[in-house]
Amino acid sequence: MKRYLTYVTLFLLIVGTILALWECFVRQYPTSYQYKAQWMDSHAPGVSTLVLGGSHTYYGVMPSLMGDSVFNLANVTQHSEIDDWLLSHYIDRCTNLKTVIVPVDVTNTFDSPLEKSVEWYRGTYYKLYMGCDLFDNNLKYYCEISCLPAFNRKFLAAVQGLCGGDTSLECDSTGFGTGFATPSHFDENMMIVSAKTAEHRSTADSANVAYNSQHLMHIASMCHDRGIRLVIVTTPMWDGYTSRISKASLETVHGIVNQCVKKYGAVYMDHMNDTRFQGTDFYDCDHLSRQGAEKFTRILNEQLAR
Amino acid sequence: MSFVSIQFLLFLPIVFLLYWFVFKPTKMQNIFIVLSSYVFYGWWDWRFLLLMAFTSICCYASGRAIEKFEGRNKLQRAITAVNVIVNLAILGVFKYYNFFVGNLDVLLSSMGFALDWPTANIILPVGISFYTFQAIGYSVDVYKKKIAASHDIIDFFAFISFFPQLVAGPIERASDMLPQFARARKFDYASAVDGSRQMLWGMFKKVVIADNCAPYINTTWNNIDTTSSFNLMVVGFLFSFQVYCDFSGYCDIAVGCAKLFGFKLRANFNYPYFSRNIPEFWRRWHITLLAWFREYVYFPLGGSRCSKLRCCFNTIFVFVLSGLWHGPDWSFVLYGCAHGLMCSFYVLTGIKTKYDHNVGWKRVLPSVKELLMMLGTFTFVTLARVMFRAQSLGEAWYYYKHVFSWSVFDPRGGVVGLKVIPLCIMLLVIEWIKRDNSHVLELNGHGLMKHQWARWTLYLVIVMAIVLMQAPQQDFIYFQF
Repeated sequence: MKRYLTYVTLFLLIVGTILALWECFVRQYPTSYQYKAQWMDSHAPGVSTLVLGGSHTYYGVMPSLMGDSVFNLANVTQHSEIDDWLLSHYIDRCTNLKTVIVPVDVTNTFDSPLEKSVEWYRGTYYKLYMGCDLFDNNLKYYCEISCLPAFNRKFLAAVQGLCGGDTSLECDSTGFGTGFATPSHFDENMMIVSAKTAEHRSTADSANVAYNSQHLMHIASMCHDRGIRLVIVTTPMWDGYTSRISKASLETVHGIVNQCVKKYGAVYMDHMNDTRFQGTDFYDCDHLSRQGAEKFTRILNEQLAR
Repeated sequence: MSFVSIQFLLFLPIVFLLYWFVFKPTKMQNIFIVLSSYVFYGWWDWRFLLLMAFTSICCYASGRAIEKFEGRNKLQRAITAVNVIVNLAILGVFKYYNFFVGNLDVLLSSMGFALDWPTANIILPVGISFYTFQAIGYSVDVYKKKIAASHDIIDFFAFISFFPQLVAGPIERASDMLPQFARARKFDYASAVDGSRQMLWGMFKKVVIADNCAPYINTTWNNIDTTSSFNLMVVGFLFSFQVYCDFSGYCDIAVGCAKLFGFKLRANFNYPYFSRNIPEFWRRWHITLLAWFREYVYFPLGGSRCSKLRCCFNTIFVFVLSGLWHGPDWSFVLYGCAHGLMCSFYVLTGIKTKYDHNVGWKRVLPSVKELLMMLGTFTFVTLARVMFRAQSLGEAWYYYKHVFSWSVFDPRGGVVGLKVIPLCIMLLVIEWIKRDNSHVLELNGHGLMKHQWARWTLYLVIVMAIVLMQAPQQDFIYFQF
């Protein structure tokens, strides 16, 4: 028994030490979540326009083209409950907040809660770096090494950093995602394949519609109560993708948006089928490239000014 | 509490240390096992405890009564029958009530009668089918004089509620377990180490493979109408790996955990995907459930010592029951029926299904014939399991219609689960190499594994994989049964 307990204890100590060292190593390298939380903590009172949402706005709206007091608080796979939490968390500190931009489309309307999605691990970042209390007390939300997909990327970035390479944050100082560069050539076959995949993803579990709608309504009511303009946007998407979206899915999205517009006076800007966006404006079938993001931001800015 | 939870990671060492250091006499250890098991089970819902205690009391009392009325066979039979009926009735109410009421309603409505029985919103107690079958087995064994009735109520309660195998098996025989509770147990280092390794491998299968397969499978089944035929086929195979790793992972943890406490449980799996035919598959998959049905249903019906037709009927009947055991749905009945028909085919044709040796005996690779047989068996099992996974018969039919079409050979549109397919292949390769061992981490001290540093490196790699590759946690699939 003594031998068994000694070995088990020793083994657990080794495991614990390795994990702790690994965790310390990756925590040294900043994430966009950490950066955005720190930025908001120090600049919240000066923000006039806040951009929320997932990758469509993270890679689609460039605050640097919209003025000094605009910040992009969106992030990859940032689901509706996170948007809701972030706005609730910061809204009272943003004393000059005039406009909130939030995307609504066939992806985020049907998304499952982040905790149940394939990208659940991003919850760890919200919990660790932004203080988000939406997730349970599972150990996996307390350490980065439990998030393998994110950990791998960060670990590689850290190693690149050690070798003198680029360890950038994947977002610029205004929170805009810099990961999607303009593709060197527009490959229609690749787009068709990704459109098919995205189409399946976008119509995921219709049971989530009520869940996401509820969070959007809460965002709208918070803005309404404080006299903040809520702008709902649907970012431009490649026509090969939009043509594959079912009519029923679109009707669901529009139903939710209309409810929000009627009840809380939100403004809806639908650019999904905007024909001004073509070819290299897209990174993939439903994300804008940097070039497309610049174009979209200028159009959005003009609309907001009106 | 689940085996893959923080609660269990704390619960197990506390119970282990108290069991060996504080509750040293066997009697005290058994009392402590009962208490720990009730805490373990009550973690889900304390009300479930009442049901389990009731089942335990009924079976204990019936055993004592059967013994008391020695020589009065009719009375003994009546006591056994009442006890079996009471236990099946509990199972029926909690698991099958809505199914029977719903189907009776459809049947009577078609005959012009209206049935106004309400359906009930009943919570299914976790693992009820497992411990109920174990309890019924005891009662029948006592009646048949295969074992003596238990005189020690603590031992008996411990036998029914023993936490490692309480909620998802293996379904143990009283003749194997009660003597283990009765005798003094001594800590055995080799057994504890082997148990720890088996638990580690079980965790790996559950957390790394089964849980990582789950999101792809769930998303696909939720969007079955927009998924390509090719991906439907891929997801079918992935589901086979998910179920196997989920359930055999649980059983590995259960068997390993029992070894830490000085108990030996029966193996529930024996590398089932290396089966060369369906009857062999069922001698390697959920072994203890089929053994239970063989013992208490198939043999009393006449087993194979009767005409071939009768034997086929017996086989199909047992498989239909085993399908229904999984849950109150016609898809489970059809699942059992498909396997029953396949096994009957072997009965009728007399094709050999038992072999003297494991597949690929004394060879590195299987022969072409063996490989084709294994592939055929695995494909049949995978296709039958669609009924197991589908939410309705309509959904299963949709799946079959698309998988049995030419478009199944068209992989354009991407392949789902590309990240987990290598894991499944890796599992098959490792299991193939270790197929003659009772579990994959049974290290016999040969080759590199005779060095402690090599063994510890292997353990570390597995632990790191569990930590780094965990996916959103899923309940064990067999908890719902």
